[in-house]
Order: sequence, then structure tokens, then C-alpha cells
Amino acid sequence: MRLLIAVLALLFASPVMAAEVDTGHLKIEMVAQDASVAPGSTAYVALRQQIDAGWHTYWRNPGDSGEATKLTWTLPAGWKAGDIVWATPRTLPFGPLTNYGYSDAVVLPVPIEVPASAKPGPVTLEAVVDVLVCEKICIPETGKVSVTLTVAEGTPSPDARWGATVAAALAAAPKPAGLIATFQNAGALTLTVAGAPLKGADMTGAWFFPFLPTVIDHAKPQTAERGTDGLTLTLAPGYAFEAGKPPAAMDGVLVVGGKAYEIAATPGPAPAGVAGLGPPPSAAGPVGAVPKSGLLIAALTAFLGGLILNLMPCVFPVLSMKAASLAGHAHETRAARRQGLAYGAGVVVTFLVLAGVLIALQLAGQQVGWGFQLQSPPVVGVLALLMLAVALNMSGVFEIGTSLQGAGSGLAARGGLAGAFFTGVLAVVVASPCTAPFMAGALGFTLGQPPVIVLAVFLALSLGFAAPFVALAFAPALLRRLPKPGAWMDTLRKVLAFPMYGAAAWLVWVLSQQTDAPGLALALFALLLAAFGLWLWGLGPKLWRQGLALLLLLAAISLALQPQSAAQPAASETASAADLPSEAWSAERVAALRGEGKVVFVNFTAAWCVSCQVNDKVALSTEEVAKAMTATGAVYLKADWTNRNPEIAAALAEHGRAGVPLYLVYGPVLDEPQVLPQLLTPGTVADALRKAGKTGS
Amino acid sequence: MTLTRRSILSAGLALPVLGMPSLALAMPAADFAVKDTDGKVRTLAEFRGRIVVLEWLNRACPYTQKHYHGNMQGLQVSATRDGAVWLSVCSSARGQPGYWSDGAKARRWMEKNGSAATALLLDADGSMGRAFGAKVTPHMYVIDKAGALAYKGAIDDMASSKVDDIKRARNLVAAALADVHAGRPVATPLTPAYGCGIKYG
Repeated sequence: MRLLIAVLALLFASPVMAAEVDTGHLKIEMVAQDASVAPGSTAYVALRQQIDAGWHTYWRNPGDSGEATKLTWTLPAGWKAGDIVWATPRTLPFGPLTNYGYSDAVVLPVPIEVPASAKPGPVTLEAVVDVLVCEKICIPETGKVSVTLTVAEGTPSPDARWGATVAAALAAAPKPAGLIATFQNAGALTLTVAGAPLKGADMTGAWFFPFLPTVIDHAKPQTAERGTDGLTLTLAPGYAFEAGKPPAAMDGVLVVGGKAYEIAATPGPAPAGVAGLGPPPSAAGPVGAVPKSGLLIAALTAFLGGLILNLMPCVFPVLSMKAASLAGHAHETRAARRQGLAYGAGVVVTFLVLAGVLIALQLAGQQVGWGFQLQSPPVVGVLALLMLAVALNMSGVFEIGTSLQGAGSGLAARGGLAGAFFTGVLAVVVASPCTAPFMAGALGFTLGQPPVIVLAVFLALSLGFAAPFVALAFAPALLRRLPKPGAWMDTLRKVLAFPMYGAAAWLVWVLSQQTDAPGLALALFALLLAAFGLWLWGLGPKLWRQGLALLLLLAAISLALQPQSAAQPAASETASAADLPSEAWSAERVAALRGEGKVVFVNFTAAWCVSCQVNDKVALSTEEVAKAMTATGAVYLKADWTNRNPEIAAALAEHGRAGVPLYLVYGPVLDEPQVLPQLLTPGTVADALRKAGKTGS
Repeated sequence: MTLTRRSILSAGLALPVLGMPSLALAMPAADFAVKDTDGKVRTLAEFRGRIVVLEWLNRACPYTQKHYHGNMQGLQVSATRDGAVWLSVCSSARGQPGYWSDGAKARRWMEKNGSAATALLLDADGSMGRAFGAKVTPHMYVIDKAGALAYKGAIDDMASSKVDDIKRARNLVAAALADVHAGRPVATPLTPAYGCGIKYG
């Protein structure tokens, strides 16, 4: 008898009988881990789904819409099928909704209890599969699948074809791992998870998939903060929290660093060691997906961008300072070189400091980008003061010890070096609101990259920016062409003071876009105090005068720090672009207009972005553009980034940008928005609008 | 529009924080101004003093189709007979499944399917859908006579696309309407809706 069973087992053992069923948009099949199973044991079979490209099926909690795959078994007496062992899902965003599910292919194991009384021989397990498969539209599909196993005593023999696949799916499925999870809903919903598997672990891409659809708002971002022993996720509470009695548990799957764990969170305070280390580096997103060679290209384009940045309008005032200084040293080769290098050092150091601050802020989870420092009214106020001080100095109202433009001799040369360094610092600070062609791509690349890469790109950028003047300092032939030092130098310096006054005026204008009327008045008063103080200082070295001057300057600085971002800036929107009617940008508005089949022009701008203002005047305010707008029925949306705005920062990042300007044209014939160059001409804009508006119908 | 939308959504979140009584949905429903199949602009204000039922639909969605085998029409007939206003809403964006390019086509669909809704609103820009936080078709809302949201969620408690399941399911909208008519707080005011995601653009 034993022999007979063994022979039978061998006969039926391989391959397991199974057949693929095509339900329309996916192929399903029931497969088995083991070809022979022992009575009284638990065996695993699995539902394989091969999903058509672009379509998806759902996880146990489908998220905002959809429905989980269901199995209805027909089993021989005594056999029992357990619940599906769900594979780790992916988030599937769709407009304002987010679903959880699978695309391409998924293997969903199911435990089968083999009764102890099972007779040796073949057994067929049958299931009706109800699966909702969606692309844009959803189709409920049904298929009947079956798998035939052989009952035999002894060690089960794995299925030759699918054994490994099912075993791998079981191994990869999220399981509890002794993690302690708690949640609190005080102001924000925080989920904290700690335990040995998370100690010092890679925490990129942390995401919580709840089993219940009601506990969180699935479509909202989840922000993670790392700790030594675990992490904290800040979630948007779902309406289970609205109903007064908060949920008693929040169970689900935590995906972190490419691993998935099942967690059961209970209400309670956060354990120690789940925060304090900042957010994890972001997982490869659309930008991070740039290949490794991307760094070299980014560095090269950054260098090129830095070079061109010297030609952008915002840098002119500071370059006039540099020009004045260079003229003074033109005939002393050694001094000129040292000055050039000091200037270069100032540029490089400042860029790296800016990069450092940017990295720190981004690690702290802030949505910031290029030019971020000018989004703070106190910074703008103090910069305006600084510009005024430099201008007054160039006008000869006062001197600091040896002049900033110190000429030649030993001690003065040292003062001159500090001056040159400072010029470099100032050039970068003032240049930062401009992005030049090539720069945007390079900076966009650094978003979400590890700090080392951010620093590398910024270094390349700074070298490019410093290069022209440093090179000039090392080209005595060029310098010798300048006239010999003399009275003309003083005149030149005084003339070049006016672009600096202009820079101060521009910064006050920026401030007027950020703060309210009282805030602006404070800043103007600060400028007045500073001018008076510096004049006093310039009268000559009398202790009381200098003391008073310093007091006035301190008062001016503290006043300049006062203005705060106002919700409703004093200057109206019409001040910057009176000519074209525009609406405020929002991602939703863009979606709505696209839905109507409209051509949409989006202008990501900021008052402190000089290139943006230039484009407004040179291209966007022209009749040609206005005509094209009317002809195509285009809607002009403005995203004003003058003050900090995480939504705009996120939208910029989505297009691989870290700063403004960014111009996008959406149209019914375009799948993706067209990105316009950073220096616009009326023709480029009009052409892009017309192309986007060309509908077949 | 964005501002009002936000304030509506945040009002919902703010209530429990402010320690208001836990009548979960004691928040005003968002007003709207959306054209119906005749091109007439319909607003919530128009129906002040009446109970309003909102039903998000998408004719291409199997879950809408499941309930249009008689269940939805029956509910429409009984709700409107009891004095309620029934507004079906289609938030499919242009080019998306379920979008109607003109009102006449939508009206024909209503006639063919025997819809007894007061009106069918064509919300192709999705503004009404987003203001209400509508996610799926069908997503159901009951607004009481005072204009406060009384129920938001699924049509019934059997999340499936099978017509056969309707007879075994508990109709949550009918239950909510009964509570509102009786002047009681709705027993289950918020449920997870099931169905196809709304095809916003």
C-alpha cells in the first residue's frame, strides 16, 4: 500500500495542475508552493496576477477608491483556506486621490489547512476570483481558477515551477517584527515606531499603509523624522478622528528602507529615540532618478550657469564694485592677483555656506529653494541697509579705516583683501535671486540628493561665477590697458555708487511686496538712521561721534529686522504686471483649467527675482504676448514665491527646479507642460501659446 | 474659490479640536454653483429649508452601474417623494471616463436609466467635487434643512460591484434620511465610500 501511495505521489507530484485565466485586463492563475502536501499540515497556494501595463489591482485597503481582490473558495470537506497574505502595496496617486495596490505582477499567497483526515491522492482546490482592475476606468473582472495538489505523507515536495516564487512572496510579505508603535493626535497625527529592526536602519521612503481606510487621509504627504531607535511619521488624520471618539488602534504596514513590517499602533505617547535626526534622504523621485553620470553633467552645467550668472541683471550693481576695485589694482600685478583670489574665495565660501544652510533647512523638512534667504523680510531689510552702506562708502561719505578699495601699500593691501573677499560674499548674496540658463537644471538636480552632491554642484557653480574676475586678475595684459591710477578712479568709484543705490532701492521694493505699510516705513526709517550714522562716522575720528554713529547703526539694524511677512502685502498685484490679467496659481486651478481644455500659462515668479521682473517687462507685458493670450483663450496663472510657500516649492521641485523663474505652458494638445527658457522673448511665449492651443477639433 | 474650499475642509478638522459636541458632521455644507443638464446654474442656497441628497456618479463606473439596476432610482423616488431634493453630480473632467460633452446627452442618459433625480449637475472642472471632498462614485451626501452636512459616505455597507450584494446590504443613505426626517442625529454619519475614483482632471 505504502508503495502504491508513493508511486501515486510521484505520478501527481509534478507538475501541479494549474491553468492561467485571462479575465480581460489581467491574467490570473492559482499556483502552489508544494506539489505534495501532508495531512494535518498548512500548505500555501498563491494567486498570481499578471496585470496589463497601465492597469492596477488593489491591496486589502484600496485607499480612496477601488476594491480589494476577493477569493471565494470551493474546497473539499475539511479543507480550509485562510486570509490572503498581502504583498507590500505601492501608492497609486490619481488626481487628488491615492490608492494602494499593485501594477505589473503580484503574487498573493493563501494558507490552506490540510485536514488530518485527508486521503492520499490528488485534490483540486477551486476559487472564484473577483478582482477590480483599473486604469482610468475600473472593470470588475471574475475568473475561476484551480490548483491540484497531491496529498502524501512525509515531507512536502516543493513545486518545481512555482515553489520558489511562492516561498519568495511569503518571505517578502510584511510581518510583525517586535516593533513598538504608538500614535497621538495632538494638533497633528503622529505615528511613532521603534524597535531593534529600525535601530540605525536605512529609513528612506518611509510610508505607512493603514489596514483601515478611515484612519488617515491617504492622499496627503507623510513626513518622516528619524531617531536612533525608530522614526516618527506625521500623517493627515482621516475622518475616523473627526467623529469624536478616536480609533483605538491603527494597524498597517510600515515600509522603510525597502523593507516592510506589519505594525499594530495603539494610542499613547512616543517612545524615546524616534525623532531628532531629521528626515531621511528622500527616495529616488522623478529628479533623483537622474543617473550617476548626472552629477558630472550637473557640475558642468552648474559651472556654465555660474559663468553666465555674471551677465544676469541682478549681479550688475555688485560687479560695479568689483570693477572699481579692479581698476585700482590694474597696474600692480601681485596685488591684483591676490585681490582676484580673495574675491574668488569670498564667492566660493559664500556659495558653500548657502548650500550648507539650504541642506540644513531641507533636512529639517522645510520646503526651500534657491533664493530662499530673500524670502525673509528681515534678511531683505538688512541687505538693503548693507547696499546703502556700500553705496555711501563708494560716494565717499565715509571710509572704514583703510578703504574697502584700499590701494596698494602693505597694510592697505591687507584691508583690500578683506574688501575683495567681502565683495565676493556680497556678489553671491545679491546674485542668488537670479538663476541663469543652465543653472536651473543643475540646481534642480541637487534637490533631494545627498549633501555631498549638493555641495559639489554648488562648488562648481561658485567656481563658474568667480572665474571671470579671477581670470581677469591673472591677465596682466588686459589689465595694463586700463589707464594709470589717478583722479579718474575716484570719479569712477563715485559713479559706480549709483548702481549700489539702485540695488538698495530694489531691495526696498522687494520688501514692499513682502510686508505691509508699517513694516515698509520701519525699513525706510532704518535706512535713514543708517545714512545719518554713517555720515556722522565720516566726519572724522571723534570718539563721541563714532559712538553715536555705532548706536545709530545698531538701531537701524534692529529696525530693519522688524518687518514681518504680511498676509496682504502693501503693494497690490497690479504693481508688477498691470498689463496682463492673471489669476493666482494653485495646482487645483491648473487641473481644473486643463480639464476644461484651456491653454494655461503659468509664471512662477518672485519680487526678488530680477530675471523674473526683466521677463515680465521684456516679454510678458508686450502686445504680442497679450494678443497670443487672447487668440488662444489662454489663462495666465501666477505663482508668487516672494514669500515662502511650500506648495509652490513643491511644484517647482516637481519640474526639477529649485528656484524661480519657471514658465510652463499647458495645452489640450500637450500631455506634459512645455517648459519655456528662463530668458523669455515675446516670440517664444507667443509661439508656445499658439502651439499649445492648436486643437485638432 | 481655493480659499473657501480650504476653510470648508479645515472647518471639518477644526471642530473636534475646538471641543464641539461630537455630532460628527455639524459643519455647513459647501455652497456650489454648478450648471445642470439644462444649463441652469444650481446652488445649495436655492434649496434652503429642504433636505438635499448629493450623489456622485460616473456612468462608466461599474459601481454606479451596480446601483442603477434599480437601487439608486428607488432611493431617488422615495427621497424626493418625502420632500428631499436629489442632485446627481458628475465630476468627470473633459476627456475622462463618464464626461458628458453636453447636457442633452446627460439628460438622455437620465431618461434611459429612469433617474428620478431632481437634477444632474455637470461639474467638469471638479470644483464642487473637491469642495465636498468627494472621492468615489458613488459618494453620497445628505444635507439637512439647515444646510449642515448630516451624512457623508458609502451608499451601503457592502463594498462590491455585484448587484446581488445589494439585497444583503444595509442602505446607509436611507438610514441617514430616516434619522434626519425624525430630527435625530444620524447614527452613522461618516463611512468610507467605495467605488471608482472620481475622474478629476
